[in-house]
Amino acid sequence: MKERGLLWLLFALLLILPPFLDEYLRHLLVSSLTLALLAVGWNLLGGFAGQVSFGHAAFFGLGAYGAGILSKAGLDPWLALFLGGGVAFLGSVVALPILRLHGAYFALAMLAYAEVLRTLAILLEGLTGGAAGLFSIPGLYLPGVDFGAKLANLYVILGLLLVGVGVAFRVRYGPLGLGLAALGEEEAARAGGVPVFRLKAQALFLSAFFSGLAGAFQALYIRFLEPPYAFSLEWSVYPLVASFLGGRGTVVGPILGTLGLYLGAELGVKQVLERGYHIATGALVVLVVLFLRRGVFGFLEGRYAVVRPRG
Amino acid sequence: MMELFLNALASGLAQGGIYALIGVGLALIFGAMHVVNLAHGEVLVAGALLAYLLAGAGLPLWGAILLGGGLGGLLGLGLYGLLLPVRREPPISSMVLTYGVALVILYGLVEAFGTDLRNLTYPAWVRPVHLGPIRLALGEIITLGMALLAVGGVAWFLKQSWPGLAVRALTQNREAAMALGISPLAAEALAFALGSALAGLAGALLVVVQPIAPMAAPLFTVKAFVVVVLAGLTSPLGVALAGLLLGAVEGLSALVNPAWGELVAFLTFVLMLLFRPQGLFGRRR
Amino acid sequence: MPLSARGVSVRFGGLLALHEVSLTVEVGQKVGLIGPNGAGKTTMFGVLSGHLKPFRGEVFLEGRRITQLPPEARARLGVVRTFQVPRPFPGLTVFENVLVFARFSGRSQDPEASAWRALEGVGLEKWAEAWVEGLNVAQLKRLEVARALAAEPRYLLLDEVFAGLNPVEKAALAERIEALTRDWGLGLLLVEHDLKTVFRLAQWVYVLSFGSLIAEGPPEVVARDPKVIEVYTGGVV
Repeated sequence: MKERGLLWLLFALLLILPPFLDEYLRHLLVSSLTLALLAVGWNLLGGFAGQVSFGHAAFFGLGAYGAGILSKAGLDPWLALFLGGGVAFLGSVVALPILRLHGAYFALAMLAYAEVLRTLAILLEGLTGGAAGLFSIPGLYLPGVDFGAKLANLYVILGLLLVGVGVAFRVRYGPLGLGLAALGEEEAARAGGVPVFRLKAQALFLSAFFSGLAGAFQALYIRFLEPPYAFSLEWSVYPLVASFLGGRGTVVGPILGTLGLYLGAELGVKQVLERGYHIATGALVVLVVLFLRRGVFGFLEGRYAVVRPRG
Repeated sequence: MMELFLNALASGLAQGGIYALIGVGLALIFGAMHVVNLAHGEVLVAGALLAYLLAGAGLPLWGAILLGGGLGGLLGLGLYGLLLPVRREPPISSMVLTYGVALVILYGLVEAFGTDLRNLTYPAWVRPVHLGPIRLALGEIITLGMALLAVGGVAWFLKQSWPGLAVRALTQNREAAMALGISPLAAEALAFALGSALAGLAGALLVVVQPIAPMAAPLFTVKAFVVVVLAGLTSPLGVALAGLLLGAVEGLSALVNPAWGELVAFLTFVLMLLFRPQGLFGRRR
Repeated sequence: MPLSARGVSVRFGGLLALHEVSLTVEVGQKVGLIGPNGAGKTTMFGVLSGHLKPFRGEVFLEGRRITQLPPEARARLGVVRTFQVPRPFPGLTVFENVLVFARFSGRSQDPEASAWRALEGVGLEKWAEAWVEGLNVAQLKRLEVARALAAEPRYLLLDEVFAGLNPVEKAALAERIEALTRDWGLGLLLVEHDLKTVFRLAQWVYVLSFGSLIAEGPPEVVARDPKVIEVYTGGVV
């Protein structure tokens, strides 16, 4: 199918290009791919399950602080990376009751959840370093590999993104995908035996884990954290906008949306207008909502169930 | 000690007046259209900056403030117009659309004004007023008074005027209101315009007593939502009360660590949504 | 052993919507539930489908108490309902819509085969790859039935499935339902407004008025029951 081909092409490019790019471009790629992983994670819940969250900064931040704290405590950074995702997963278990809410209420409750975590990060100074922040987080390490340079980090985040995409693909085009799609009419889904809450919970757990993984990577990459950064509204809003623009019903949509927004801004618009790119983003969002309901790449959406001819 | 407490409380209540205003504004919009308006805070800042400009250019203060409210109303109408095509879609589309508009307004203002804090300084308003042990700036008292006056005006309007009744009917029972011949479009537009005008007014009032920067806009939006959820679907007076309550909690927590106030506010928000969706004063639907 | 309700009473605030109502549907039997507006038909339907819990009385499925089970659990046990206003899954094709029920009811060994069989049963097989957004009302009603059938039910609960159809469409659908009930060996409960169609299809009819059961029996008997006539004509014959 079209989408699978596009994804392979994309990853092939991202695999081959980096050695030919300068440090600045590599840095841009690392940042945008981290955001892309966050967006892929977000879209598992916001796109595939239709539960739009305005508070995924909660999971990003939990992953970041989880990895940061564990790494500083002496744990192997690679382990801390994945446990960071685990912390975000635990955070989603705590947030399960919020899943009972719908639509705007769910979106806002998630936002509030992120804010609650942000204030807790400030108040629990002993654990998180409080408002001052967490410094000198030991970063990723492999003997013989220079993680001070961007190249190694780039391949790590690319690897993580690949895993995320693999899972997202399996969710979207596997049996879970059809069930999630049926959530568009919950009552009818129930009447058909669909375990609505269980499916939503599964989507939430996966979504939180990968968003947390992105946060964990970020913590080990920039090696410094503070509450307003780790739980910034940016991490909640960016994946949402990118997924809406790119196409919530696809796996590749959030990635292309993120890359388009981020690289487009950094490499294109920002050169021309200092702050115009935010205005442009806002205008783009309005236009997409009004005219391109399925997102720019929505046409790539594959079917949930391919009809086999009657034997 | 007591004095510290009372002053913090009074200061918080003054701020709460602003929250009451934007809360009532948002409640009007949400009640009539069930749209989560994420541009509410941006309208507030727009009103604030317009008032700042006009007063700076020589316009009498009250004129500038009222025009700030007027700008809010216009922005509200514009936003409503954009939302019309997406009425049939799930509410999340409207929500995201208002977010796009919020971005445009916010960064448009940043383009025009920069990210600095602006505020007007009127010596008369800064003059301290003593009420027993409490010491407040005159401006704070005026702001609180104006806010409550505006809320009272809205309450009167909703109860005693035909357009106001139409808006209220639409909020309470949409089908019945339409069956009675009330045009939903007109009533919704009115609710949106009025609700946004209140936000603009709040901003215009605020900029006289407090420095405001465009980047503070999202925080005001969030606070307005906390107020609305706290109050539930109820009269403007109930929403105003919730606004004052939020202000009081914030004011008191500032004594210890402002983060506590925020924690309480957001935790209450989530718990309200989960366990008491009708809010403190609303009736169970 | 059938699907049955015993002494069911439902209260909404101060209003008693159902008072000690009992009814039974056997496999292979076609049962009608009628009554004027507000009589409690929808409420009773909700109790049987799992959307409502009675404050008194029980619902049994083949001897097992299912009163507290939610709709999704009942679907998995073979009690499947349709919706009066069709609720197709948006953004999916006709086939996908039906496949959801076939897969998630857990009752089919081969969900795709069940889905096809259901589509053929209602005559929508040519529309399998069409988007549901393109169907008209009559087709959507048939889709509702197809979905329910794809779940391999033992008992099919049809909620005003004939509402909104013209006489030609009604006759066609009634014929199909009759054939399906026979061929699939289902127990059928029809909640209906259209008395003519119900009396034609059903073998046993229950009549509700103001929340109570006022008559039950074969259609010919019920149609002539003076209590029933009065309830529908307001006492003016």
